[in-house]
Amino acid sequence: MNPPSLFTAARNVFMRDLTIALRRSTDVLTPLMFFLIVVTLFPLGVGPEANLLRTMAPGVIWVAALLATMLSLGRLFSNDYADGTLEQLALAPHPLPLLVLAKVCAHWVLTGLPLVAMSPLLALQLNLEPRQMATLVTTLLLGTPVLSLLGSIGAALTLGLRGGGVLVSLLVLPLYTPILIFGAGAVSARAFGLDAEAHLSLLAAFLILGAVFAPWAAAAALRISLD
Amino acid sequence: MLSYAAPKNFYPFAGKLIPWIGFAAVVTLAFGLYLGLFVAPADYQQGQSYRIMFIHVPSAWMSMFVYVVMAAAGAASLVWKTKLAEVLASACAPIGASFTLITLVTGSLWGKPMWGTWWAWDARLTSELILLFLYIGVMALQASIDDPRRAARAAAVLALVGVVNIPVIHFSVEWWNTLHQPASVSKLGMPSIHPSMLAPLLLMAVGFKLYFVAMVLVRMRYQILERERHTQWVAQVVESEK
Amino acid sequence: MGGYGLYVWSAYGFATLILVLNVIVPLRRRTVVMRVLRRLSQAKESE
Repeated sequence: MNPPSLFTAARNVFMRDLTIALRRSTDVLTPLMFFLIVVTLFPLGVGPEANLLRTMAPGVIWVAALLATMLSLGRLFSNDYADGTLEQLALAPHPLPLLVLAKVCAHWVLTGLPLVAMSPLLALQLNLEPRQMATLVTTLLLGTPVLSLLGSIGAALTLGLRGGGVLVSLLVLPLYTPILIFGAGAVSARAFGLDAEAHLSLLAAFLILGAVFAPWAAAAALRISLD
Repeated sequence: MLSYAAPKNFYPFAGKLIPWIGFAAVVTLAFGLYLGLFVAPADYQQGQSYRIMFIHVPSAWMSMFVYVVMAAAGAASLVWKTKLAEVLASACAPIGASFTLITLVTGSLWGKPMWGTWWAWDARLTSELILLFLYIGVMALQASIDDPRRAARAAAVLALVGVVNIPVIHFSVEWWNTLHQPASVSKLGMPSIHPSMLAPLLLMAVGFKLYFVAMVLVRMRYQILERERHTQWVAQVVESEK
Repeated sequence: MGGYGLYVWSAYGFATLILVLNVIVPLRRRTVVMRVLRRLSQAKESE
């Protein structure tokens, strides 16, 4: 029997992750609810003053997105690690970085994309101006995949470690700073009627670089953890 | 030359080097401190407070230099799987974190008289803080893996990812800072450098480098002993150093 | 130190403290490692 082609293998990994996650839908909903709750807590903490909330909104939504993504990183490899699937993947004739990329894509569809879809609602909650709305959605659309990509490195490194959940935040959050700066910066720039094109191009550049390099690093980390 | 890379040969060799390098570090630092604190004139703008620069700036240089050394050693350990490179990489992290901490605290102590505030979101201080987080991440990862080989290799991957990210982080923080720069805050600039200020600055930088080499060797030596504890030569070393 | 003495000396003091700690900690760790290894070799001998 010939091994399936590269593309089929990646697609199978992707579809498998989606199917499993959809059967256990609480896994998908938890980060999303977390995102909603964190953003809701901010007005309660700083007061309901509309202008203050509007200036803080880009940062608050972006930080909440970072945290929600981070919370979901444990799911990326841990179940496959526990049941041995991951070792099978590592032994497969296909390049591991590509399979990791497929898994990261599935992770993004299950966490990043719902966050993007929910963000307009939160933007309304925080009185974001209409012209900022599209920018917010675009930045999240470009930025959340990078969060999943960088996060996969952290998830792979902490695989099977005690306290892995807290540890992954320590490893990954500092690496997220550029995304946060340009993501939230773009939305803030729109508040002053400024053009956010430079931010968006940079986020797109991060996405391309991340898609090319992060799977390699994550695959190397997985091989170390599986040793 | 290559034979020094074997832990067995490296251990006594480093043991002989440490006192000399340590001595050189103490002399250089003492001379640098003397020039910096007593000989260099007060800056006409910042008065005496600029003397904090003589530790702040060299330790900021060190904080980045050590990270690069750590990442390079990590890369070497992943490519050639040499034990010595693994040990070097893991010995770098706490020393680099210490220099980063010194940079932050002295920067804050310099900022108070100059800016009137302990902490300003100055681009360089902010990237330095993120660098500290990166160091802490590497150290936490090392600490939570029991197997030293796996710990070293995982930390190496993280250090490499970090070293690629540091320029990006630095650039984005720089860019973020120019947008939000509060008007009243002027940068912690190096005063227009006079030769009498440059000499202590460079001496301190060299002294910190020597100190780093000596301390890295000390750390490497005991880590090597721990890792090779079941070998014959370690048993002999333990026997002879009673 | 022209009114800045407190800042300058605490900066130098803090740096010294950290640098000295960085000498003491590995040296103590080394004695601990040596003690453990010595016990290990003694255990082997008595076997």
